[in-house]
Amino acid sequence: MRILIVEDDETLADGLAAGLLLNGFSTEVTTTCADADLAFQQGGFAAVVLDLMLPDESGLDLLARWRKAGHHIPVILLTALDAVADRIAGLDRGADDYLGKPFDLDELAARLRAIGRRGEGRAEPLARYGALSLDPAQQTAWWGETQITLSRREYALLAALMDRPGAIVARATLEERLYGWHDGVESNALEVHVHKLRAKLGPQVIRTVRGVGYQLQKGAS
Amino acid sequence: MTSLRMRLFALLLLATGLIWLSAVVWLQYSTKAQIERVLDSRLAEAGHMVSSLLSDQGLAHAVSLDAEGSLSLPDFRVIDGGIERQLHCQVWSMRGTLLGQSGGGPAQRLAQSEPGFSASEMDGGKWRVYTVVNEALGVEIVVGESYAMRENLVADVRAGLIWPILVIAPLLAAAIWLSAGRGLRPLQQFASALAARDEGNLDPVAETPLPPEMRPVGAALDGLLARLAQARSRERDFIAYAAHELKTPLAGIKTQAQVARSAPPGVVQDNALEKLTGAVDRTGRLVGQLLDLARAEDGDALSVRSEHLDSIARRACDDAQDLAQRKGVTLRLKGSAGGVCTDPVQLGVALRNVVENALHAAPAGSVVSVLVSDTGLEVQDQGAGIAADDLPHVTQRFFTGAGAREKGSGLGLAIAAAALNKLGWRLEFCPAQPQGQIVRLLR
Repeated sequence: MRILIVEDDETLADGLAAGLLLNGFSTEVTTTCADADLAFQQGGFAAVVLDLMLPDESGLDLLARWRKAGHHIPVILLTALDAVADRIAGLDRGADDYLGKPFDLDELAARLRAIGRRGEGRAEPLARYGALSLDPAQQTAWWGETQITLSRREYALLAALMDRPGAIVARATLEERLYGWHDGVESNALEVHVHKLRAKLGPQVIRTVRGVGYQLQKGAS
Repeated sequence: MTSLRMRLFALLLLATGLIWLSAVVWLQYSTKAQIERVLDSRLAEAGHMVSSLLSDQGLAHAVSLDAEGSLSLPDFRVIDGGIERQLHCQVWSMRGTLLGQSGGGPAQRLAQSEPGFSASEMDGGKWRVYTVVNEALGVEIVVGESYAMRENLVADVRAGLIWPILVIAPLLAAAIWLSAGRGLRPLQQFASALAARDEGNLDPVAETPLPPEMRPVGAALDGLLARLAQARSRERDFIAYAAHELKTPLAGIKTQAQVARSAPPGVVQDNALEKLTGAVDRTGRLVGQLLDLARAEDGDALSVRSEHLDSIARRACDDAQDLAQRKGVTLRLKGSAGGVCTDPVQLGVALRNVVENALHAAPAGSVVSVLVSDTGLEVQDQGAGIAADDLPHVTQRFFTGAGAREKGSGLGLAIAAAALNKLGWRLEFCPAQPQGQIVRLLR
C-alpha cells in the first residue's frame, strides 16, 4: 500500500515514512496542503495520513475539498487537538479515522491495514491471491496452509506485488520499496530478492516481464 | 470594621434616642410653662374669689373691728383635675395687721409687694404669691402657693413622659435591630450567592436584579469577573496551544523511537536515533521558551541588580553564538555602553529571543548585528523581513509567518514583547535597506 503523508513537522514526517516502510507500506511525504494536493492528483495512493495544522491551510479544509470532488480515498487524521469535539468534527468532515498525537506507530500501521482491507472490500486481515496469502500484521506469507517466513525486504517486495495482484508491477515501483530503506541497494538487489522469494514460494509464482517488471501469478497449493 | 448591621443599629438608636430626649426636654419646658400659666390664673382666681367673698359677706364690719384673728378662713384645698393642691390665703388690713389666714401656712406675710403676682421665699420654701387689694374693705388679700407643689406637678408630667420611653426603648431597639437586618438582606443574599459560587462560575453578578445602592458594586465586580474570564480563556487557549505545540514533537519522538527500536541496525536506525536526539533538543527549547513566556508575563522582577545595556547585549549574543555558528551567520555586537536597565534578566530574555529570531531568518553567510545605544537596542538581519500582512500578528503567541524561512515555535517575539511590556519598554519593527528586518527594543 502506498501512503501519502501530509505532516509539516520534519521529525514526525521522517519517522512516519521510515516507520511505515518498516511496516511494509511505501510512502510519499509532503509538508503543505498545496504539495499534498499535487501529489494526490498524480494518484496511486491507497490512503492518506493527514495532519490537521499545516502551514498553508487546515488539513480539514483540504479533506473537505477532496470529499467534495468525490475522492473516496481513506484518510486518517493526525492531530494534537484530540478532544472529543475535535474528533467528531474531523470524522464528520470526511475522515475515516482519527489518531491523537502522540500516537503509537504500530497502531497507525494497523489502522492503515484495516482501512486498506475495507478499501479492497474484504474484512479478513489476510490478503489472498490464489494459494498465496499475505498477513500484513505479521509480515509473513502463507502458501496454502504452510507458513513461509519472509525477511522484511522479501515481504515488502511481495506486498508490492500483492497490491495489484495479476498486474505487471514496474521495476521502479518495486525498487522504490527497497530504496526506501535508505540502505545502499545494488543494481541487482531486486533480482536477488525476487530470486529468494522464488526459492521460498516456487519458481512460477513471480513472472519476469522483461524490460518492464514483475507479475504475480495465481498458483495452486 | 464593625458590621453594617451593628453600625446601622447604633446610629439609628442614637438618632432616635437624641430626638426623643430633645422632645422630652422641650415637652417638659413647654409643660412647665403651661402649668405655671394655668396655676397662676387659678391663684389669681382664688385671690379674687376670696376678695369678693369678703365683700359679699359684709365683713367690712368685722374687719373694721380690728379684732385680731377673728376672721376665720376655710382651708384652701383645691381638687383640680384629680391633683390636690394646697393654697394659702392671708387677709391683711391696710395698716398691716393680719386679719385672718387659712390654716397650715406660714405666719409671716407671704409678700410685701404690689398687687399682682410675685415670688417670695420664706421658711425655707419658695412661694408664688398673688396679692389683691380690696379698696372697699381696706384689706389686702394675699394668696400663695408653694413652688414645691408646682415642681411635683411638673415632675409627675415628666415621669408620665419618661416611663413609657423606658418601657418602649427596648422594643424600639429590637425593632431597629430587626429592620436593619431586613434592610441589609439583599446584601446578605448577594454575599451568600457569591460565596456559593464555584470557582468556574464567572457569570456576571448583575444578572439578578440588585438594589440601586449595590449596583455600582455589582458593576465593578462584573468588570472584574469579565477581565478574569478573559484572562482565564486566554490561559486556556494558551495551554491548549502549548499542548498542541508540544504534542507534535512528542509524536515525532515517539515515532522515531519506535522506528529505531524495530529497524535493523544500520542507516535507518542511526537516522532515527539522530532525529530523536534533535527532536528532544528542540522540544527542550520549546519548553524553555514556554517557561520564558510564563516568567515574562508573570511580571515579577527577575533580578534587582541594574546593569548596562552593553553587558546585557554581550551575554545575549554569547548565548546565541551556538545557533549563529550552526546557521553560518555572523553575529556582531556594536555601539556604546548604553543606559542602565533595572531588570537585566527580563531584558536579556527579550533580546535573546529577538536575536534568535533574526538568526533563524538570516540566510547563511549573512550578518546579524546588535546595536547598543542610549535609547535601547537594535537587531538587524539580512533575511527576507517580516511581511507587512504578518506585522500585526508577529507578537502573538505561536504565530509563525507564512513566509518564515523555517518553522519556529512562534513564541520568540511574543516572549520579547511580553518581557519588554513588563519593563515598560516597547518593540518596534522597520524594514532594513536593501533587505532584512530591523527590530528595536526601545525604552
